[in-house]
This record gives sequence, structure tokens and C-alpha cells, in this order.
Amino acid sequence: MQAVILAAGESSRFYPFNDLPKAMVKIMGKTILEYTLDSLKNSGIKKLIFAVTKDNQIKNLLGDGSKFGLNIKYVVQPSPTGMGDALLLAEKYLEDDFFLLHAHHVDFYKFQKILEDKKKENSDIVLLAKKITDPLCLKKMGVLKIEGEKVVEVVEKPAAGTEPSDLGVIGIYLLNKTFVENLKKSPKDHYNFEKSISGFAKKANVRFAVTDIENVSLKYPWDILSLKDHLFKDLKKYIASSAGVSSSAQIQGEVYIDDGAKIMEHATIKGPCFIGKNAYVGNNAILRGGVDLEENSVIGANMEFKNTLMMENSKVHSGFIGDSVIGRNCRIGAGFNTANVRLDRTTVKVEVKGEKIDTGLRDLGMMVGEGTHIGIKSSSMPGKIIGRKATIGSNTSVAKNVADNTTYYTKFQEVVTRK
Amino acid sequence: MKKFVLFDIDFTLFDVQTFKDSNLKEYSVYKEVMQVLDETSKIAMLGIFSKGETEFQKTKLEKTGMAKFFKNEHMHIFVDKEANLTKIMDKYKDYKIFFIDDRLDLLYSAKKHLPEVFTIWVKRGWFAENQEPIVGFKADAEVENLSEVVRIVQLN
Repeated sequence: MQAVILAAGESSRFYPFNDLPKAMVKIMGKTILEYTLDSLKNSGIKKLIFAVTKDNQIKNLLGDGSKFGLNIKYVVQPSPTGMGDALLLAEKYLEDDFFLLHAHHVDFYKFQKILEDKKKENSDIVLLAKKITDPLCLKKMGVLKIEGEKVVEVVEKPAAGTEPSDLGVIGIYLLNKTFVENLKKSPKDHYNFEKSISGFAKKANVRFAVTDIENVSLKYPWDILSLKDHLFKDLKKYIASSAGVSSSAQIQGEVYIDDGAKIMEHATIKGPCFIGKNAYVGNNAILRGGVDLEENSVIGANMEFKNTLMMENSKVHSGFIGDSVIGRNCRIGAGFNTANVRLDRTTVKVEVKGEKIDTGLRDLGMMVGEGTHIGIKSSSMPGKIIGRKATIGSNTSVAKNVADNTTYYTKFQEVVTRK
Repeated sequence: MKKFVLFDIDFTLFDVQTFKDSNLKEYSVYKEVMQVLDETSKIAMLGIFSKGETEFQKTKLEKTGMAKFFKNEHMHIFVDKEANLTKIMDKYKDYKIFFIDDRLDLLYSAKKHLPEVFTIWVKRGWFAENQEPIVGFKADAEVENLSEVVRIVQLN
């Protein structure tokens, strides 16, 4: 069996972390993509076709797949023209039945059998679906219109009250070459894949398999935290012999401390927690609620970190950072604080592409793009996105999203009067 | 003079990278290790001198099948290996000691304390990759893996 893996999307809703393909984000020292590859290997699928972008960082990481025990081919989508287009490009390598999935489906192996069993029930193709009770979620998804066991149509992002069912499509499919032939005849547009399924359902046996297994999506930047928590479930206690852990530091629960990491005096680390290679945790720092510090990252003395992922080579000094994602190569000065809960305790809304998205999360801090510098004694309000290579002046409260390459600061006026 | 070979565990005998890559499930040694231990045990006494939590390190020895080469009284595992180095060197000072480790700084400390110690630096893993040169010190032997250890112990 083969798998086609989609990794060429623009991921614009994933901003500010879409400077790389989103599956290239590292969690616990490994790219998300590597987790997905492990999952595919565990499923016995070794022939992979990747749809990638022109710059092809994925190809640089994986090569022909031989070092991972896989056979990998690539097709390049010069621009993000949708799943259907990616599949048509991959057609030349397709043999017969194949899976189609996104590069962040780290738990593919859990869904493989459900799809294969359904395929055996005289199905041509099978779609994986999940019962969704939240209408807010359904209106952002493809929703199945069904008749008995069969799919009749996939309705993209139905308006509230018009949903044909409560079955949302999860992006894992078991398809065949006949479907691809049918796809070729569909009019070219971004959603030709979804439309083609509806068209194919009129003449073929399109079935659905329902799963209640947790499936973590990776659409928005804060979804990194959910995926981190999901992967943390497999975290085990490990302290590398090359790590330097002060005898006065407290290490509680499942804490992984990688090679060369240093944990200084009186730091407290509560698991689950991952401390990457050569990372540094300063004196009296406290890490709790699921912290992931990637390679070469630094947390200064007296810092409190809660449920936060900090990517490679970033440094923060002191203060409090909670429920946040910090990109690569950031610098955050002393006395920085995130507000991660609204005063009215309602869920945090985030502005994404000009639209306010309700995250459904009560606790959410900030998301900071690669290479951003933040001055001392600054703060951020819940759910704010700070773009890449931005500069935030000292004593500034970030109350709205900050664009890439922007300087954002609060202007002070010095007032000196004679008494 | 009787010979005594002190082995470190991580990166010297135990394949840490494979262990980490397998999400801490696969306990394995480098491919030459079992044969080297078998042959060395015929010409010298063997011991362990390692950093870490005792139970965890002993689990590595047991799960890989290495434990049979080491008597319990010659297994020395400490959270703070540096602090116990001189004590261990002194314990075996009546033997010709071969001290095998991936940490050059420990070999240097051992040599300073007991110049007769024969130091063997195993250049693999995190420590070897990140090791700055130590001015005025070179290990008596440097090896990429343990294959040469039998010959070194025989000839010295």
C-alpha cells in the first residue's frame, strides 16, 4: 500500500509559524513529520509520495527515505492549489489503492485498520469521519451527507443550521486510481478534491468510517499546544548522562532531559516536560503544566513557564509565560509577562486573517514568530500573535496582533518639573 | 600485575541514540560490545564506573545481556561520577587500570590523580562531539569504537 502525504499547503491560518511547512515544527526534539513517518512505518506503509512546495525543506530532511527505511517520491506544487491538484501530480507514481493524509497525522496507524475494514465492505473509497457536537467546529469542516452506509456528498463549511449531518471529515482517506481518473475530469479549482468526491459518490460506492479516537488537528498556531500535549502522553522520564542537573533542582514526574541540558540550583520541573539538547533552565525557574523547551533554548533565573513550547535557540529572561508558543531565535527580556486568561474568564478569541476565531480555550497566551525580540518589562494580552522578526519595545503591552518586521512600542513622555 | 578494565556505560557500551530513537523502548549495545566484553573478560577483570541512577543503569546492563560480565561488587554507579572518581581509582590502584570513557575530562582527572592509569577515550556520542581539547593532555588511546580495546589491554 502507498500513501500520498500533503505538505504543500500555504498554511496561512498557521501564521506566524508558516515560514516552514507546519509539519517541520519540532516537538520533543523531533519534527511532527518524523512522528507521522514512524506512524506510517508502524502501519507497514513504506512507499510514500509527498506533495511539497518549491523550496522543498522536507526533501532536504528526508531525501529518498532510505535512511528511514522508506521509499519516498516527491511531487512539487509550485503554488498551493489544493489537495486535488496535489493528487493529480502524484498520479504518475500511484499503483492502486492508497491512503491520502496530511503530514501532521502523527496517529495514522490508529486509523488505518478502521479504513481498511470499511474498504472490505465492497467500498470503492472510504472517508474517515468523526461525530462533531460543536456546531462552531462543523461550520469550519467538510461535512458528510449520507444515506445509510453511503456518502452522498461532502458539503464544505456548511452554514449553521444547514449541516447535512454531524459527521465531520478528518483528513485521512483510502482512495483508488479510479477516483483519481474521476478527479481529472473535475473543473480545476481549490476545492476540486471535495467536489470530486461528491461527483464520484453518484456512480461509485463511497463509504465512511466513523472514529471516536482523538485526532489532533494542526490548523491554527495554538493547535501546536494540543499536539504537544497529545505527544506528551508517551513521554517517559529520562535524564541524559551528559545533562547537568543540580542536586537542589526538583524533577517531578515524566521529565525528559536531553544531552547537554543544564538545570540550575533550585529549579523545579514538573512533568510532563521536555528539555531539549543543550537547553538551560536557570536558578529558581519553575516549569509546569507541559513545557517543551527545544534545543539550545534558555530560560533565565526566576522564570515561570506553564504549558508552553519554545522552539530552537530562543531565550527568555524572567517573568511569566503561559499557554504560549515561541518561535525560533527569539529574545525576550527580563520581567516579561503573558496574560493567558481573560479577566471575564471567557474563551480567548484570536484574530486570524482578519477574522476573530474563538479558540474555545480559556487559557491562551501569545504566539511569537521566528526572530522576534521583546524588550524588558513588556507584556502581552491573551491570544495575541506577534509576527516574525518584530521588535517590541520595553515597557510595552501588546494589546493587538503585531505584523512581521514591525517595531511596536508604547510611547512614553518624560515629565520633569521643579517641586 | 593483574589488569582491571573500568567501563563507562552510556556511549561507551550502551547505544544511547538507538534507545532515544525508540522512545526509550529498545535497549541495545554497540555492535562490537558483546564480543569485546567476552574477550576482555578472559585477560582482565571487568568493572563498571558510570554516571546515573543505579537502578536505571543496572537495567541497561541486564536488558542488554551485559550484566553477566560484571560482578556486583565491581559495579560503581553514581549520580555524581566526578566526585567519586578518586575513590574508585584508589580502590583498584593495585591493578593495572584501564579506564574507558567517552568523557575526556574524566580521563584527565583520573590521570592527574593516578598517573599509572591507562586512559582510553571513546570518541562517540554527545561528550566526544562537544569536547574542547584539554591543553597538555591526550588520552593514552583514542578509539572510535571498542574493537581495539582487547588488543590495547593485551599489549599494555
